[in-house]
Amino acid sequence: MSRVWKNLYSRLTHSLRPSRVLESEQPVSTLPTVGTLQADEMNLGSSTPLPSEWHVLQATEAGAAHDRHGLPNQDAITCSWGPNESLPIILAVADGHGGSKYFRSDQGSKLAVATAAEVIDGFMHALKEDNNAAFDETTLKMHAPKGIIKRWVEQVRAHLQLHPIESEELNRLDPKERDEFLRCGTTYSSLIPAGDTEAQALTDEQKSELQIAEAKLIQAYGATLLVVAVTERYLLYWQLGDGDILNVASDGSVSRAMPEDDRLFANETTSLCTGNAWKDFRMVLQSLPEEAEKQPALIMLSTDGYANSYSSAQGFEKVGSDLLRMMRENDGLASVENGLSGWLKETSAGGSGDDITAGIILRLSALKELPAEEATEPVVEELGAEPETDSVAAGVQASIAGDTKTPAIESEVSPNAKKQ
Amino acid sequence: MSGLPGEGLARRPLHFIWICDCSGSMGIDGKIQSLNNAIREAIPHMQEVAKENPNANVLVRVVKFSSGAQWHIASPLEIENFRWEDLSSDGVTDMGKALRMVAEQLKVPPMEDRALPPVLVMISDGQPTDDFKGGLREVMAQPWGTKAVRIAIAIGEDADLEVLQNFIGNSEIAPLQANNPDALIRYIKWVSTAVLKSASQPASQPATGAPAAHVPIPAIPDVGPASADDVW
Repeated sequence: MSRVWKNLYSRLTHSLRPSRVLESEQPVSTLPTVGTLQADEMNLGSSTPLPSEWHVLQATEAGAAHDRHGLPNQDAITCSWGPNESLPIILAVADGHGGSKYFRSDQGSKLAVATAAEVIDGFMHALKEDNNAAFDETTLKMHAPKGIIKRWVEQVRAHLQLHPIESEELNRLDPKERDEFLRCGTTYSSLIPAGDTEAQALTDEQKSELQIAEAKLIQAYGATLLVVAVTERYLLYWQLGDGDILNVASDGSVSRAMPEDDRLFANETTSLCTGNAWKDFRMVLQSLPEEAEKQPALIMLSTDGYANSYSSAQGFEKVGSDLLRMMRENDGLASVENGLSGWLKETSAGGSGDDITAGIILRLSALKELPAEEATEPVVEELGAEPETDSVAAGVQASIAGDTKTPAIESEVSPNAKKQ
Repeated sequence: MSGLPGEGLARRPLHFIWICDCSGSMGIDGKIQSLNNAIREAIPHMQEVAKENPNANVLVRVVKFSSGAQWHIASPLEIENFRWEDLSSDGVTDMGKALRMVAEQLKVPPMEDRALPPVLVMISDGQPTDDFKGGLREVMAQPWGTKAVRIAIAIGEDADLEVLQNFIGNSEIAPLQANNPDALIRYIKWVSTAVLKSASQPASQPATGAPAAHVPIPAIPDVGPASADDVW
């Protein structure tokens, strides 16, 4: 796996030229018309398109407080699919920090979701190309986060070079911070080399000055990040900072794949812009049961403005089960797609006031499944049948067969997070 | 099914706690009456700030300390319904006891994880007569204690500035020295409006572990140099 990752890493980080700045996608409103069917272990893509089992809804709305104070929506969301609307689905949500020092966090969050989708998509395809590939802990918990951070910083650098800091952006800062950012902006603009030749001509002192100035300026783009990837057999989750990931089972019960992080409290969060940010990622890998009805009915990623709008965690988690119930009604899916943006806006107004973004991955077959209490046929237990497991909340199975040396992947988190 | 998904849509609570010295010395030269007037006058301004930041549910309480400490207004009152009841003065200065009572209220529960950082305003004219350090330790042992905005107003020259600075816990913010009624009014208004407004706006930021103020503190009003009007 490390060989696969090295190849991917190299391809993604090789270019010296400023990268294309990627914008987040607009909300999805159409059903996918093609899907995937493949016998390989990842089942990542197919040249034979079939209707997809999955559907994605996205919505993002500026917070009521942001509207009042003339601030932009600092959240972002994007979703990518494999070729011909096949798997993997990669859904990413980011929340730019609201403090005055993070005056480009709206751009930072856009770059975060685009970067995450690009890196994770590249990772998936590198796996597909290598028949001996397997998920290993190091790749999932270290290389993937490192790759995302590295690529995000590259994108931020590119944006900074194209868009030097302007004094008008600094109006919300106190005089001391404003002067500091202006000074760093000037230093950065004057020292950033155009190419290798100029880079080599910098003195050690200039390199140090440039590094310090850049680190300060990158802060202005700070954001959190949540990513979910769906393959034929796995669900992969990465999270840096606040926000929520809800798993809703077919019976409407709600669970969370991601354990808590004790450091996220009182508007403080871990972030893409802090040093060694890759260590702050939490990562969970879940296997998808073969029986569809045991797979999650829907997975929702949301920024913290959503959960902060409810007086209890249970009240917020009911969003997940309510959405599933609403989608199961006649024309329910279309109603939810049409209503989601407005609901987020209304929730912000009556709740936290913060930007709210929600991305929902829906298993379409779940719309036809009824919760047990609504089933019309009696459930008959087979004598001697093995007990069912809670597949939605289950930890991870061992890695893909074929690589006996690869350690089993636990449903695991970074050292600082609390296990459930 | 109609309506929003989820249950219990609610604004974020913002707890504002006045911690008021009601020792016997506060009865000298009209200090306690000036404090009563200043807070009463500040209420409409607090209500105005709350209206401008409707996503913060401002909840006000008051704890008083002299010989012992008691809740003067125990249940958090929405600022829209908050009415000031005059404090009176008598006894010593059990500031530590007051802080212990505040610490109890900063636990989760009754505080909520989703709350906005609380604002604690300590107002005193003298030196603590009990275990102030122990009381402060209990406040700071609570996560909401460390994240709270802590402001201190010293009334008169006999106030213990070191104690008040310890309460604030941030070298970039000094105790506000009010040596006359006008200065007290201006500082009370500032903390009730500018600080409240800053605390009402939910701005996320990376956890850096730095001791700097979690909520940006606005510029402190200038009440002018010492003058003949300084009666305290």
